[in-house]
Amino acid sequence: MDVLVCATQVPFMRGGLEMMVENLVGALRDAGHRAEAVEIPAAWDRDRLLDAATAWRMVPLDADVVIPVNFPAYYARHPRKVLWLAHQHRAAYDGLGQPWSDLDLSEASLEVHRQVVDWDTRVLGECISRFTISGVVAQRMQQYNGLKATPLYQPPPLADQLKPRTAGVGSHILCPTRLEANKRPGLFLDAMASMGEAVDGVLAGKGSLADELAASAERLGLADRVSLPGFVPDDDLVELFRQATAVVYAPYDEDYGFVTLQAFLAGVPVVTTDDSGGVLEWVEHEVTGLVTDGTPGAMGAALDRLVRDPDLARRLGAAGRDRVKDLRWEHVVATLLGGAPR
Amino acid sequence: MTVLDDPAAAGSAGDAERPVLALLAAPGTSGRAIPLLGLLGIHARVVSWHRRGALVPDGVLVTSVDSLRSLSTAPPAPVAVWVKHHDQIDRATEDGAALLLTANPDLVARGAVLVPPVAIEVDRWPAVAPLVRRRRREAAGLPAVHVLRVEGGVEPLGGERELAMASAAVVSGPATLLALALGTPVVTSPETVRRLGLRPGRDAEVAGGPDEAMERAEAIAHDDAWAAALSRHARRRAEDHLDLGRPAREVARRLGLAPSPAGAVARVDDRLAELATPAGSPTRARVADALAVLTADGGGSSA
Repeated sequence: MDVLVCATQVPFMRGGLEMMVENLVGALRDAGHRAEAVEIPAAWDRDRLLDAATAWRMVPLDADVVIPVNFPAYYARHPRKVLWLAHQHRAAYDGLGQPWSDLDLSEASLEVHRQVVDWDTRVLGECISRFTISGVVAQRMQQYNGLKATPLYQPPPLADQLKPRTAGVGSHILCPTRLEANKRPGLFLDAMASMGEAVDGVLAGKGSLADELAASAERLGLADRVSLPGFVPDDDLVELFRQATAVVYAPYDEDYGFVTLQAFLAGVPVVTTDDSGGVLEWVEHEVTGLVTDGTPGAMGAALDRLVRDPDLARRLGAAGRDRVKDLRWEHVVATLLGGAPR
Repeated sequence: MTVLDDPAAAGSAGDAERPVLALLAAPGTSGRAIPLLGLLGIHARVVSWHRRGALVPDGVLVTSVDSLRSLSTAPPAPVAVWVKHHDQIDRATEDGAALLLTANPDLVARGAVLVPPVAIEVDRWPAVAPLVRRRRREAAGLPAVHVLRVEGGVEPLGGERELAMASAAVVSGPATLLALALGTPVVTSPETVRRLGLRPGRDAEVAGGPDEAMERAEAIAHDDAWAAALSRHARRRAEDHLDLGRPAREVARRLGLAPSPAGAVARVDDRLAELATPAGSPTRARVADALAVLTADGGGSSA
């Protein structure tokens, strides 16, 4: 089949969604299909929000199947549109009222909001089948648009390289994340500062909060224990996962969260919070990790517990690996195209 | 509103340039055409077939297959005619009808265009999803949950606005059509469900009595997914089965009463219409701005 994967381009940015698109295109090609990504830039401010959506309605997409993955790429108009949704425009849904949503209660905002929800409902309803990257994304679509979808999980980047260490105990607590507010990297530092055990920590990633976090680590007295290496090459990141005692991943209401799956593939338990969204589809308290109330004290206590009890850490990590080790791109491709028979 | 023009009366200069639609109504059947004529009057000057005088119609609307024979053997213009039964379809086609209209949904599969006997011009009422209703209530200082009971019609001033903000509504009578078009999660009576051809539990919930209805509406108001699904199906039902605008547009197009623009700009219009984008919406204004430089008249698109 000829398959076009439709996504929104965010110039000068590269994150989980871009990796997912690349991996999907690669997996489609590996399965013998011709596949390409089609990307159109979008703006997120209220007044231009639907410009790219309108553009997608006009784009000629000559292929057997199109697979849109996010807002507004799912405005693509095609008789065989199979949705695999990473996210809608969250500022118009669960993000209403958040500082990053510019949809306020003015008349202008309310009309744009009405339009985007109505249009979303129509174009998502056009799809011949609907999948989402996680249960939380499916739940939001049903809650707000009245449309059902099936979660379809994917293996994370580096899945082939991530393996558990064969012996010994972990040497550090790892928090690999973009350094942005919604990922709450500051919570990692606060948790580290509240720990009783003087274990090392690594906050790996880039982002707009880098300087602020470095200053915060200094202020919390963590300068000698916690490193902020910025971008970490893949091979080094794999090793950081492998040697970790625990991974802290506590974003706000995450859509999916590759970090959780990467930690599990490395046999490392995850410490998270009870409002981390898709992360909680994988982290089950005292089964594959520890779920806290998100206070630094609770996070620190959870980390202390894993440092003091390596058997517990190993057991939770192994259970996590069992949950994710069978995720395969072949299954993703077969499921997506199975909903679009020729 | 005067539906039929009297050609003897003095018309404006602009009127003379409009296409002419002639209505040929058999006794007792003109009622089925009246709601459509209100909308077709936007595109055309509507006259009675029998009183057309020297006017040459651009299209003819006939309310009964039996009346087709009253036209000359070769109709002077494209004809649209109402059909009631399957056996009338062949007769109408043999007699030269270009378009078949019907109130019988069973005939749609044979190419007839549905003109619902009970209908609303859906495009006039933008759909408002439950999440947006909640925000509107917040802006208006209304409670987080707001369940309405509407019997009969809707107050002309403000009634529609309140219906477009309600979490859910117990509705009966004429207001039901408006509630459905607005995407209101509706609880109604078995009688209304039957009359409008609604699917119980999908387009609207059904309750046997007033107390049960309010209880059901309150439950919907507290269940986002239920409310969202009802809202979506209600609007689609209104668009697909209760809309007067759709047959009016089809008659205008097939009888050549409205221009059929072609080209890239027209396709943008088509796409916006496909998504039920309201006239005058900010999105249409932005599209018109973007395309103005591409159109000879500086924005001739209806976008």
